[in-house]
Amino acid sequence: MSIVHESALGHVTGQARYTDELPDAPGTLGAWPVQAPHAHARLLKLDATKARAAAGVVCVLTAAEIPGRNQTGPIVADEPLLPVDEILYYGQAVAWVLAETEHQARAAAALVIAEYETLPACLTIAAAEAADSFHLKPSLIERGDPTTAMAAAPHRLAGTLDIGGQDHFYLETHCSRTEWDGDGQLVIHSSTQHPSETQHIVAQVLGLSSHQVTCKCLRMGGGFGGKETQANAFAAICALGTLLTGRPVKLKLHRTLDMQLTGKRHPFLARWQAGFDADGKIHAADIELIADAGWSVDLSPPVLMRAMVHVDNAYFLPNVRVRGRMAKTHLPSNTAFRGFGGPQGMIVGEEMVAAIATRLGLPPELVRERNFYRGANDAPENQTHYGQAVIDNHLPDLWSQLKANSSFDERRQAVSAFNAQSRRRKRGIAITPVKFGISFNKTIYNQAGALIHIYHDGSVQLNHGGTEMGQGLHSKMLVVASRCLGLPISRFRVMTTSTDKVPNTSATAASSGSDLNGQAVADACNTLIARLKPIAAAALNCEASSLEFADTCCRVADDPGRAIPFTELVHRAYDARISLSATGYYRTPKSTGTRSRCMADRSITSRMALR
Amino acid sequence: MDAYSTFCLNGTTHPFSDRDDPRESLLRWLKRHRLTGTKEGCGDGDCGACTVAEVLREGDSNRLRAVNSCLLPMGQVLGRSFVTVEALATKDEVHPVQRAMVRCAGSQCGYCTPGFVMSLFVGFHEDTLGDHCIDGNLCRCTGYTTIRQAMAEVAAVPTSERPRALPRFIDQDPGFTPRSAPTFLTPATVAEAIANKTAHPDYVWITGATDTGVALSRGQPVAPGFIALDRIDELQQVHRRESSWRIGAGVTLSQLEDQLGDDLPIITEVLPWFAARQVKNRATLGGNIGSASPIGDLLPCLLALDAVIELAGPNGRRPVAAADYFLDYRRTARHNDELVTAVTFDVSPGRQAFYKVAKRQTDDISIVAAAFLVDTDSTGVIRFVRLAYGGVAAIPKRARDTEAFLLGRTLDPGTVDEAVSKLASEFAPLSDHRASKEYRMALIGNLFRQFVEAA
Repeated sequence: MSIVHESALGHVTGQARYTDELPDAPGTLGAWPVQAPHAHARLLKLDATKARAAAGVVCVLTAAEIPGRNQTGPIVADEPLLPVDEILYYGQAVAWVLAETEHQARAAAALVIAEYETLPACLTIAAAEAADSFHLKPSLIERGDPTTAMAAAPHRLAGTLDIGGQDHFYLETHCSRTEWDGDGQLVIHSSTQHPSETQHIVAQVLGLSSHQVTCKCLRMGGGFGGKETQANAFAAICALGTLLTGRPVKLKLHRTLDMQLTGKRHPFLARWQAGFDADGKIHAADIELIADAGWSVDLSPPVLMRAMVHVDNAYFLPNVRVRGRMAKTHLPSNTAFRGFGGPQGMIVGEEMVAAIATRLGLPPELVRERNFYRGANDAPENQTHYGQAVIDNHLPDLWSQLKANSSFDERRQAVSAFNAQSRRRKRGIAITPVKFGISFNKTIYNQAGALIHIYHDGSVQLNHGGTEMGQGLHSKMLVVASRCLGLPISRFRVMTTSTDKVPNTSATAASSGSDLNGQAVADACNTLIARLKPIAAAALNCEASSLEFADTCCRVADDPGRAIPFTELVHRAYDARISLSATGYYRTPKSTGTRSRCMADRSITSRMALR
Repeated sequence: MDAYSTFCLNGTTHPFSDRDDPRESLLRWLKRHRLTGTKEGCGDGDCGACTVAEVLREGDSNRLRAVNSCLLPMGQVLGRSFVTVEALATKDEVHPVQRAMVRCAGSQCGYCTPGFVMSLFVGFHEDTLGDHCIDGNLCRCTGYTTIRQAMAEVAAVPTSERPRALPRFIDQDPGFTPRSAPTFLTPATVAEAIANKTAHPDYVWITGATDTGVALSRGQPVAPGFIALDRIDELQQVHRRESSWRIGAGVTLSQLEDQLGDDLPIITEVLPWFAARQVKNRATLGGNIGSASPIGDLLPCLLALDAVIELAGPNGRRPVAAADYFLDYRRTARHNDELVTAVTFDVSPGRQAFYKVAKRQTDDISIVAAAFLVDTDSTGVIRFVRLAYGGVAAIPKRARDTEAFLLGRTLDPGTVDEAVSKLASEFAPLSDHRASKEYRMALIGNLFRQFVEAA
């Protein structure tokens, strides 16, 4: 079933609204940061007297103004919202000015006097290593006896790989707005992939309980992981402003500020050693990964862990040691980004395999193939180094199909022929497998909720815990609900994601949004169906178990002529005092949550890369 | 607050008064007036999410051109007419490009979509659909395949059927007369511009606003006031007599593409890579010369063509050879009270080529740019040679020693090798976030080798 994106018409006409474009409530304040011009410094003095007196300024937010905890760290409490005494990255906001307009806030921010004592800064992984500057403890995954196997291997190779970072460049920069709803509830609209966490962090900073704070996310102009945790601090700044002034506050980062203030993809340094035989089969691998975490921990532990469990890519490493560390550098705190460390891990495995092929003079695809995970689910060569079997491993079949369908061998010959006669221009061809774990490493996040209201007139409001950022999640949820209830898409409206509709949600991340939320939506639909069927059975004089929901009615599956229109059924249910509202809930069935079995579910794909 | 000027937006005339800021970008104005369909992705003219269409009156007909509203100061909007994404659909029907984008699933997060729609809208009605009409639009969800499918779908609509999809108001003649804002002057003649400058020496020239507009978009004050040169007819002219050219400083890069034809590959080869469509529709030859950046892509061409830059000031007009014009980083022979009026040159015979290496193919700053012009006699002996580079020194610069070395020789492999090593000794490029000096050094020689081998 293919449908158009539920917001497609809004997108093309410019009518689809984003957080920044909601109407400003009267008196909405603009915000601008006072940024530290040092990567690492002691904050000696902060004097906002002049700024407070400037035109339009309503207040200046500093650490001293925070009534709750000055803390936004999602995993480790190491992220002050506003620094108290130490600056940890260039451009860090030491204060925010709130004024009648953003323009006035910006002008006044320049009047805040801050004095610093500069301190030595670590700006690279190498500098962090030299200074022994790391977050938390090292991680280790080990299988077999890599030391002995390495020593015994017929061949050995070692190398290092520098993997760069990347800005998310979601086209919509971070945006938050906060206001009191008129009855003591703080309402946040945020471009966040994780409304529940934004709600929680804001409550924590303000010293409120979660039930006093509602966080909504309308839609995002792209997220890519960059709004999984990074939205929290900006929402907290706005909320702090609303708490202190009683007025609505809006903050939409200019692109330059967004790039300076938010984390990016983790750069990695990888050192690897491989022991292998003359066929290119790997006997041992010893890999060290250092992630550049930036100034705080943020999501670096799971990013690093995901890299560590993806160094194998699609290859069986019988004896392996993977060590991981997080460099603490004076840079914005690096964060989730599409793949979440997976790509950084996989490329190390691929580098290793490519280097082995070069050393042995073998075609890389042959060395890849020889090292594939293979065999039945429980075969020794089908077990990952983190203790999970590669269930339903069809990579070897997929590989040979792809090679045949793409005429890979013929094309390789054509490439060689071209290169032999072309002095300056060269061509290349490669085929590379990808094994990628979907769902969250941390088991508890693999749960989701939904809330469905059916109204008298047969129209339906659909709420779920996921956020829409262009991936089409809302459209997919519509398809799920539409199929379950047998109603056309036009009967539904997907509501703004909101923590007062579906609480305690997980981030929309880890390639899991559709699977988790879709099952929760289906669960809610099934609850409603179970309540509606007896009403229909009575009306149609049949067994409830014989009924199905399709074509905007409830009907006898074997005798579709015997049917009751959905709207009529809903009326009857209401008259019979049956609830037409239901929650849905889902948790993944198999994830066990131990460190050695990381993924709830896995998929193997193979991808042609032609260059 | 009396309005002293007006502009036309989606068929409606809007007043502009002392309460408005002529330095504010059109994008910010739109946002303040709750026309939120036009998006700000970067505010630098790089992403195209803020694309709007300008309506140009040409005789009895209207032409459309796509521009970045984030770079366009309101002072240059006054007296002109624009269309935003909100005006494309009627109550009953969306525009064909909107319909195609929906049908082909051309939107994902939707934030870039209005900008793509506006670029396609212009391409559809100007019959210029093709990748070049969307090369100034970025889709971060990387939905280019479906966007191109949508473009192919509307490209199949016969041109005769396209005009009826134009918003009706396009044909109304807004009948504006451009008027100056107090701090944003819009002279109609060169003489008036010079008089403005004499009266306000601290005001700065602004033409396409594709460079200054970035600073303004970022909230930098730049200058107390501006004198806009984009409404002076004299500066818009292109004259040619055989191999002699005179190109007005106000000619946009898009007009250069349209008007130079195939006779000046050294310029026309640079234009596809110079910038994206929205920028080319505003950026001018004179702006490139005026900002005199070492990575101004037309500047090596002017050096290779031995062009003469014509300046006008209170004391009259004077020619300055391009080779004498660039003094130091962004410092030129132009006096503060002078403006660039035109460029003249006689095209020497010989083979011309232009090379630009940048990370993004369009709309990016050069790592290295090179313009070459080499003429040989029938035996292959070089009798005229110009090798000019951008991005490898504080100014755009000719490789004079290498030129002198090559004169009178043939391009045999030994000579080329020696020329490449001479080139290396003539430049000392910097390392920056675009590329290392080693990479730039390699390009200096390799681009010349590429030129030789392409013969």
